[in-house]
Amino acid sequence: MTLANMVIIGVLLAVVIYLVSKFSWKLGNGVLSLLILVSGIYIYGAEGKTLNSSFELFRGMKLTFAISPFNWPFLMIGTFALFVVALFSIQGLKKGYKNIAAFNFLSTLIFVSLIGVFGAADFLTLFIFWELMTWTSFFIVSMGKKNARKAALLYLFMSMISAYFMISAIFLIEKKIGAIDFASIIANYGSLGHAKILVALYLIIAGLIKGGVYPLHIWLRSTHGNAPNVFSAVLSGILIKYGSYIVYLAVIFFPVLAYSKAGLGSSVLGFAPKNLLLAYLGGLSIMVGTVSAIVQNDAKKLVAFSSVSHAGYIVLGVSYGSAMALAGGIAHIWVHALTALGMFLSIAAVYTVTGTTNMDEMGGLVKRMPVTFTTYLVAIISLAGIPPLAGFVSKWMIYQSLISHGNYVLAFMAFFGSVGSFMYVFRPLATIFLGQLPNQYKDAKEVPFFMQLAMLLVTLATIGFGMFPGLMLKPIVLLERSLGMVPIKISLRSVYSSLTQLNMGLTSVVFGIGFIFALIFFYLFAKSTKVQQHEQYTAGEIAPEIINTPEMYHYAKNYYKPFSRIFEKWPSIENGYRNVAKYISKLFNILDEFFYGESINGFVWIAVITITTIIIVRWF
Amino acid sequence: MIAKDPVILVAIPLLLAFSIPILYAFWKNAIRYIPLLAALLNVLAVVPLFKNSAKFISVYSIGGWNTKFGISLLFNQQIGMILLAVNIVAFLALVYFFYNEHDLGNGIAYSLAYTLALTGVNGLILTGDIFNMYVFMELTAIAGFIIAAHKKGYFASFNFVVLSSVGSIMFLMGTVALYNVTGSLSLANMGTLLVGLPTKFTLIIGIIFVIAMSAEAELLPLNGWVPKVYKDASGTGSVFFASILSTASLYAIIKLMITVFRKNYADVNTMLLVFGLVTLFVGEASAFKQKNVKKMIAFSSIAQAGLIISAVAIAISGGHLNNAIFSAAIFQLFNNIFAKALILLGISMLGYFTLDSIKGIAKKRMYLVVLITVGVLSMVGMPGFAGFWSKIYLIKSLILSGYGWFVFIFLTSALFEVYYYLRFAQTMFFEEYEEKEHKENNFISYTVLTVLAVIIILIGFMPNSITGALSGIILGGM
Repeated sequence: MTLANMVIIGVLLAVVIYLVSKFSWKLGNGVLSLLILVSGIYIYGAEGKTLNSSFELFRGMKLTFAISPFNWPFLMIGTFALFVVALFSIQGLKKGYKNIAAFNFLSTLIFVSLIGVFGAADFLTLFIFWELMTWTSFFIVSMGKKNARKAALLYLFMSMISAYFMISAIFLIEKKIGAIDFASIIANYGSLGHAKILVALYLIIAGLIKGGVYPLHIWLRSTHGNAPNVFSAVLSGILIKYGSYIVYLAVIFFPVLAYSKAGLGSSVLGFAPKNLLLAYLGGLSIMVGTVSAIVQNDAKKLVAFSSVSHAGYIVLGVSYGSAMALAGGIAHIWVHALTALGMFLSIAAVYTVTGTTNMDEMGGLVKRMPVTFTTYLVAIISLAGIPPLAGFVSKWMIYQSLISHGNYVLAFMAFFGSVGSFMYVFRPLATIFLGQLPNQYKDAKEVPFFMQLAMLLVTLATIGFGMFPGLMLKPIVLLERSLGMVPIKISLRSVYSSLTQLNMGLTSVVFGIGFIFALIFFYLFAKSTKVQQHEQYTAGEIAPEIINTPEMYHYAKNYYKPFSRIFEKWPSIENGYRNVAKYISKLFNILDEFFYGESINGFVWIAVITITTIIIVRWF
Repeated sequence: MIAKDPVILVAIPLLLAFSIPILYAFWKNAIRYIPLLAALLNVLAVVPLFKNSAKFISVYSIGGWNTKFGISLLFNQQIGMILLAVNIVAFLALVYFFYNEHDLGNGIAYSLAYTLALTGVNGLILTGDIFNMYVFMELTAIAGFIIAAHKKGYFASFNFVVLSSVGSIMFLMGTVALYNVTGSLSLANMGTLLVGLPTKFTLIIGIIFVIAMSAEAELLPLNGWVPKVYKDASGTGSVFFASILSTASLYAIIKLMITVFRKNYADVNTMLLVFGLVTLFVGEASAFKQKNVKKMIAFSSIAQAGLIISAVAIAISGGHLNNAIFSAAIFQLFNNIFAKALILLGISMLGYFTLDSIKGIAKKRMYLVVLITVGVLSMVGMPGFAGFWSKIYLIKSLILSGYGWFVFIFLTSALFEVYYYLRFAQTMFFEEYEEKEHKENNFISYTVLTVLAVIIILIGFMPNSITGALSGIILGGM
């Protein structure tokens, strides 16, 4: 088995899976899970090795693939996430989707695109699979809720912009270097000359759009909010990481500033290249994403904006320019993939039970769905960066490198995101799982086995990587070593920075003891009174609107109203884009009416223009 | 049996076309079989031509006259590939006609016109003589009037009559002017003689010829008929305009520009570029706003014509022909033939043309909608389909030759194209379905569409089988 074979098998199996799914879609999903599992085992076995493979599509067009420490972390987390989602889908797709066979077919192609994008050894291969991902995911997003069609079109539009920037960059490289495989680019980096600025810019724009980084994040809200629930997990967990991967490639391959200083002929610099502009953009993205997430009322849209914020962390880490920050950024890709999976899968589980993602229609589900609750809880604790979970480790590494370089502005931005994320992740927890159970969900049951298994895997990974950060950081150390850097120092339980050391074993123990004390106090002293859900606002009086629209009085309504009032008047970049689109659309209308209207005015005008042109050219 | 001379491609349909009314007197099915036979024989006649033709152009003189004075046909692999594609699509469209549209109005006029149009189209692609080109253009246009009126689209057809007549007059003017200066009518010959003239003169002749051909080639000044005709024409009729007529005329105009002005590229390239870019922009903008799928495809077809012309203009802007850009543009033209035919035939099989009426139609006609989607994905250049490679080659050749600004324009227009084409596909798949009646389609019609889809996917995985032949140098051997 090689990556090339995996791609071929994947494409062929896609058709088989489609046919099988027509007959029994659970079986189809099973086959898909098995395919991903086998591939995952192969990739896992290739850790630390460099394995090249290729196959010739036609004469003169060779698709080349490689597993190396350079891309192993991406391949591994991607395969893991898709495996979890495929497992979850075995029972999680039941409600509402008409085209499940097509869904499985397209999901298989998404898996193929994952191998192709992360495993590509040249840019054209990467681009081909990138485009494959674009159209397959477009169709999957379209399968979602009622507004999904519009959302999918916006998603497509942004994705195509990203793809076109990328292809332009690719051929610019080919023009200057004469080849587009990674090895040649590294070897002949010097001949890129000044074009490297343009190339880096194009690639970074492509990556930022796909990665959902401010100000190019506009597709995230509607796409995540309306895509099929299971697919939101894939989108947020993996597909936006394609963008992070491109940013990573651009920063490593085309280190614009560092190169001019060091004057090296090769792009593998031996240290992490610094790109402060990009780092500040990441910081901005953290803040905007956080603030926007706080004011959302839909659980999925909330998580979408949290993805904007966390894409910011990844960009910040990758571009800040120290081995520690780079490791933190890549580790954060793992962490965010896991947390996004945990959050979206648990929301999807809630949706299969309740049929809604609107937070003010739910409550108290913790008693009915303990596994889902635990998954969500662990995911958000990790997301907020609270020890002893994986999220703490990656954020700690980013903070460490920011503080040790004395960059307090960026450090503030990063901390702001962390504090803000307490606010927004707490909201779904409080409103979906805690509080009182509405009457219509009295008989709600925990989701079936495979969905629980998938969520459990994510939870275990999040906890495991938190307690033993060495598991997650070892491949990243290999990655840094393969780039010729001095890697960060780690052990199974600890990370060492220039300032201090983080021992997650000790941290876990301390937090465990704290948790046990809190639990004891809770059971000894907490006295709660049970009240009906809507009683608290009216002090017993029954206002007429309580009977008609009880959810108006749900405590999740306007949860952070004072906070959102602060940001109400802030200019929104999305409105700006919307206005531009409106003007363009108007212009198109005028053109259409002018040239091709039902009347013959257009013809007359054209005739006049044509004759005038001829006269001008002939006689003047 | 079949002579290795391209003139047979013109002769077969001409002969068979006029046999239709005679045979019709005692064999009513002649209107179904004869056009089909003509197209099939044409396809069979193209294939042996490839054998002894290298990449260089071969000139076939007719009647033993010297090329300077007589009628001549040009053939090389590139021309052969275009001919092959056009005739295959014509054949498939006629198979569709055979089963679905032969009783849709005046069948005898339609089949006669279709067969005659094949003569004209093959002639347009092959001819190496400017007056001949005029004759074939007229022939095709007159056949086109009848084809456009097939489904009672009289107003649209009238539009076409007016505009293409204006074009014909311009063409004649241009021909006279050229003959005046060079004393020759052969494209190859005129190219060598047309030197040392003032820029203004070459420019005005160039403009006249572009405007003259713009009616059939769907370029801007005279393409007002396009959306109306597409909307009102029958399924095979719109395939004729989208895939056959526009391809042939575009190829003719390109051939004319490339050969006649080959000493004067510097004078005409800006002019071509202006025509191309304006057409491209207006076409995409209008297509974006359409609610009728056939009109949408009409505008997209206009935009594609603009794109190809401007790419050709870029290819000659260095003062000589940039072969990489040129063959990429021709490859794009080639791929559009199949994709547009597939979408248009598929839509006419669905029987519904507005975005509102095809909502969620995939629920009932899954296979058909998937076939249409193959065409759509090829049109917008997604990997796995033919259109991907032509787009890639075009971008690649443009960037490698340093025309980044044009890539920007091209990709911006492609962005809108992706948007409205996939919106169309999305509407068919994912909108709420409303119960409605459906046409019955037979197995053969599905086979026709499947063949087109298979061609697109095959090219998508093996573009080298096409690009090798397509990169024939049109100027070689002249």
